[in-house]
Amino acid sequence: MATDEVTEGASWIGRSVKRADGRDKLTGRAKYVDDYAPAGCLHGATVRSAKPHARIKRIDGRAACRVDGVEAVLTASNIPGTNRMPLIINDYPFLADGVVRFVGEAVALVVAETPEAARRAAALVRVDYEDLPGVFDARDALKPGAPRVFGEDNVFKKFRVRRGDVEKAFAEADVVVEAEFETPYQAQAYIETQGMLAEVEADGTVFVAGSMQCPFYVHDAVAAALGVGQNRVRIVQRPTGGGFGGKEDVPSIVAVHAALAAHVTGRPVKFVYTREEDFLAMSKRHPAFARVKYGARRDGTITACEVNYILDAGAYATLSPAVLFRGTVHAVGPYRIPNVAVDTFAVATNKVPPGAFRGFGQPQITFAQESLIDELAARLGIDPFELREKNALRLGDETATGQVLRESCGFGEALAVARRESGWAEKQKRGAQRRDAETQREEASVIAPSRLGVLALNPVAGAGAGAGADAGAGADAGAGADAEAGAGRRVARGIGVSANYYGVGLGAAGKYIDRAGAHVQVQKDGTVLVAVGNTEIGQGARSSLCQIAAEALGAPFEAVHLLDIDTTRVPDSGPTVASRTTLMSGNAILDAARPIRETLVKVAADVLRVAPGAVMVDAHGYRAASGGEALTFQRVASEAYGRRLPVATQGWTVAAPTSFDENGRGDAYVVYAFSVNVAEVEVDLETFETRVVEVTSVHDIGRVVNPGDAEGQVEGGVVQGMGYALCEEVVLDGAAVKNGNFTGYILPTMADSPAIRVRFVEAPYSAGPFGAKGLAETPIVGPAPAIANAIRDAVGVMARRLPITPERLAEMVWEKKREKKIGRKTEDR
Amino acid sequence: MRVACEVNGVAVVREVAPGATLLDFLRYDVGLTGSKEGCGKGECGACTVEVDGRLVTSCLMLAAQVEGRRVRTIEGLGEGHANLLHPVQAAFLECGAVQCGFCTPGFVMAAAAVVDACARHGGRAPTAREVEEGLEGNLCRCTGYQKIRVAVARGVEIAAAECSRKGRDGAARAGTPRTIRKGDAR
Amino acid sequence: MVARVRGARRFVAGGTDLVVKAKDGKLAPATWIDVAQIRELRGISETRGSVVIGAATPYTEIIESKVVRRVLPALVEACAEIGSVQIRNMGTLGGNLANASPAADGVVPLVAYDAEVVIQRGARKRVIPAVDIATGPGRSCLGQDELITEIRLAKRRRNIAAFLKLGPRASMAIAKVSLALVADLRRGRLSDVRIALGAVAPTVIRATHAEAILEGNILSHDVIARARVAIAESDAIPITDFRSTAAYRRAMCAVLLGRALRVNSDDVGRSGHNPLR
Repeated sequence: MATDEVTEGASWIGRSVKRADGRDKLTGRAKYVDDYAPAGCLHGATVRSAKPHARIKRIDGRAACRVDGVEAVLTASNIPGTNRMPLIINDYPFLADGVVRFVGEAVALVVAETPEAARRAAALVRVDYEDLPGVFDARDALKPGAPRVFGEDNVFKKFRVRRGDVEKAFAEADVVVEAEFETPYQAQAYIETQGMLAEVEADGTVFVAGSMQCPFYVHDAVAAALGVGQNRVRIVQRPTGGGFGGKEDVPSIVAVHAALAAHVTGRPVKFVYTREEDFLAMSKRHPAFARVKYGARRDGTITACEVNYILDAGAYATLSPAVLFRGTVHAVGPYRIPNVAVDTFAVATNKVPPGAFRGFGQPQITFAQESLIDELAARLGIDPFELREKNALRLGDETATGQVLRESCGFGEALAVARRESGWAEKQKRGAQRRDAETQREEASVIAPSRLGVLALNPVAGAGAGAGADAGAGADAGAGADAEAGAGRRVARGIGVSANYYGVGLGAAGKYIDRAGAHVQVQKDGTVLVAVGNTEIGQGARSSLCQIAAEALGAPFEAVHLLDIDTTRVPDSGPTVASRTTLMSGNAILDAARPIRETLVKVAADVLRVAPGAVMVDAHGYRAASGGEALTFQRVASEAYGRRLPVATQGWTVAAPTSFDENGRGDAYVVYAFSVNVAEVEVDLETFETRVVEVTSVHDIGRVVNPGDAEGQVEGGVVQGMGYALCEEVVLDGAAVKNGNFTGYILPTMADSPAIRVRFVEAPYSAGPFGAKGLAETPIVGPAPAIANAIRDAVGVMARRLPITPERLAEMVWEKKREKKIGRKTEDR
Repeated sequence: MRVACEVNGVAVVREVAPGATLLDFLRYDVGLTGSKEGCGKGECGACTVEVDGRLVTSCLMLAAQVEGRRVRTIEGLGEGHANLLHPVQAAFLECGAVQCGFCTPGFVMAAAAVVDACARHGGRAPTAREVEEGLEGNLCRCTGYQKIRVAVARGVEIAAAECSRKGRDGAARAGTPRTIRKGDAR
Repeated sequence: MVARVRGARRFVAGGTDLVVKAKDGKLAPATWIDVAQIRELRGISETRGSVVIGAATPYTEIIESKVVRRVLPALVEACAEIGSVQIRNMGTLGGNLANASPAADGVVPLVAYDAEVVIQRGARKRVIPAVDIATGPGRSCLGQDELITEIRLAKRRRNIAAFLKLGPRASMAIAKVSLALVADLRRGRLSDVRIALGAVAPTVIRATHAEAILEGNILSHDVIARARVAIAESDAIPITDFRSTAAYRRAMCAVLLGRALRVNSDDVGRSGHNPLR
């Protein structure tokens, strides 16, 4: 392919160009949805269910209507089209339809002249309910006789993967490890809350603009809800203040609410959520339970893996089947394992429906499975890095689903780079020496029985005596402290590793929508317009795609402008998810640029008086291979227009074939990215606070289009992963979100963020634009288990539940010490 | 009620509802939408502006409380600087410290206070602790904070260069003299 | 001025708690009276025996005050732990007291320093110990139209002062447990011991049991150990909520007390009086 030829030193690929939208965002000029205020704009507020499961007997909006400035109160009966979000299983009503199934579900809408009036009136809408029994734990929901939330058995979706004979393999294994793990709801916590602005244009077209990742999902939803043709609905993405999956599916609901209100009132209507409302009702990462079991030979060869994985999918299916699919495919880890049995379930409960969140079903199971790999390493007496290296998937190997890795597998190299760059060998040695010393010291120390109730069980509080000068007294509280960390704090350092792979794109679960379009138009003055269907949500798509376009055309990067995403410009290009944008929109741009470039080469050949085959194209322009001055892109474009040649085209691309049968066999994804994370932590031995000191994060994402932006993506993912590991948890009080704001939900601040060392390994993917795969999601998958493994290294306990708060870690360590004491006392007798 | 104050050097008089916050006043009454609301509770810092030279979260201040006072927002920060970008804005751009951009105006206001404080101390580089303290009231979900740290340090360098260039050229000092002081306790 | 306002009235200074409560719909409608810019309520003054802090003085000014830094270091530590730069530029000790949160970082050192709070209604004044302002979570002894005007702190010669706090993250944190300790340590013996605890009871409390064990005693391992047990088991009466657990909070009271004594005895150690070295 001609466009793949890259001239040395003259390429836009691999350059950290500056963001085109940077200046606007830095000066406050970038306009997000709430920065628009069209004349006559009404403001919406949503009446939400206070009940987890109930039949709606009556909705009374009379008092709300009497509030000054209220224009309308709307319920499901006002929806002219289909009251179901079109997605995978069309079960989620835009407005509750006779029954509510979670606290926070939208029941009615109020639109008024001001947001305050709308909110005040919304509080006055009276809803009479008849309570129905609810179920709040996915494991309970699977039991026979559980309250029914969905279908016959509360199962939205299940998958299985079978490979080899696990029973036989476990029976023959030298070592078998097994454990259960639990992970919480995690909030995407984009800093811009959900928001949409809708108006009906003079010709009747419904125009919706707002904060979103997937304009085509919104397009489908608005057309269906209003019952109008898709050619009468236009969706535009405004600059979007973060998404991370949270603006994948649920913006469709916000958009339909705004569009419905605009449709009924004939005026522009804006819905912008408060942070509390966003926490209460919008999607999150699925809480999950996983039981994982590995079997291995004494030499460290992993022979079998069994996984039972349950996602708590909340009241409606949303994207849960797809989330579950990704979790299923990656459930056993990036290892060569001949015998595999994986069973997975997405289960309905009466709780806020989780949906897409960066990682999409992988972080939960990867935390479980990578924690257990360290347990296996400990049992085998093998270095955790070595165990992973020994079993790592390599070129030619088969994944759990039997997919042969035929190309682009930089996993081995990523492991090697991570081991070297993190200083693993020295740090591990230091840890091992410390542990030896610790064992000796613990054996030598005499533990005096204590008479002090609770404190006797909490060695931290009971012993140690605070003064810290007496080694004897301090030994029990924090034997093995690596260092005094100022203010007399005693801390233990630990280091941990995790590895993961990530199927790029939608894979077999989403293959029918895995396509993308692009429109490329060269202007007379040599500037270029590019339209695509995938969005910039902060990740840097704008820069990367412009770089790809510039490279493909031989145009200066600065001359390329990517238009705001608008559903009228390109056909449905699928969602902006699954790290697919660079790959899919990039390939669509290449497809569009190819004929334009051929035309321009012919024009340049004509001007240069050489054969087309003798024209070379790079970032400096078009030149004769034999040498001489280059023609600028501007000149060539102008010459093309002078010759009345077409230099605007529509491009299209579809993903390579994928498959997945009922036994989980097939080529699940087109290609995989590979990641290795090494975390170093410091655990305070009195307070059990964990500080992540350093993370080394290494990724094979194929060719790196923009190293600076790619690094930024990884750094952000690492800190989100750290939050998942240590402090982030949406707490539900049975059915309702309890800590739904930034005071109660703990996001890491700058002071919490570790030093992050990012490295890329480039194993090019032949079907990717210039060899690129995809990056966005994989950085969040590995950090949590790497941190958990580092904590294990520091204090000797394996966390089975995230987040690993000081409270939980203290309980685990205290429990271990209690057991040890009991053990010692028994021995004394 | 009527509120009269100075916003980015311009006298402003507006009628506002008694309970209106400074943030709503700036965004919807004055029309300066650069300051953002991320949480409404002073936790995320996206609404950070300066009042009489001190950083505040404008979502927690009432519009009535700025009566007679000077307010500066992201829109007024670059005034008087090269390319209309405060050194810290130039540094954020250069270092790739912007992703989705929604937290950015608040971060830039807080980071500018750190950079200006350093500039007043002869352009010395801020310590990591000073940067963390200066930006502890701002949440970012995209960047992992790494490039923001780097950008603050780079902002100090750019400010120092700008300062010496201005001194050399004998040009007028940029903008109004800053009066922000950063708590140097702890 | 207050009398001129009809109907329900409420004083507001920094607004960092009140505006949040108003947005959450937790406040009855009232006319708000802004006291943040009233000159008489702002600033820090010093007499021979005391330091007087205007109730509407923002934390930042307290942190920057030379006299507070010299005489009341634990208060400086605590104010610097509150919220963020932005919040410290707005929030005030008067507001922190009136808000009556059991986790109020600013109140904990005030209780340890035996601060007296001056409350005014019209021309009538009364003086209440800081520890008695809060009567329960979010409830205070302030009556209608009563305004906290100033906080008085005695200058006493005490060479130990500490404020320590555990929160869920490195900054912008609501305390899970906080502790302020002030005392005088001479020739290894502690006197004038005051310990205050935050977030382990319905209000900020004094740790009287631990104080009694430490008071007048030589700072030995045994005394410290007994004080740690007392503070965790007798003084703290914490609950489990989504921010932390009762067991952890109890244990951490002991840890923070140990730490406060350790840090300070290290400091004292430098001047040659540390009996532990």
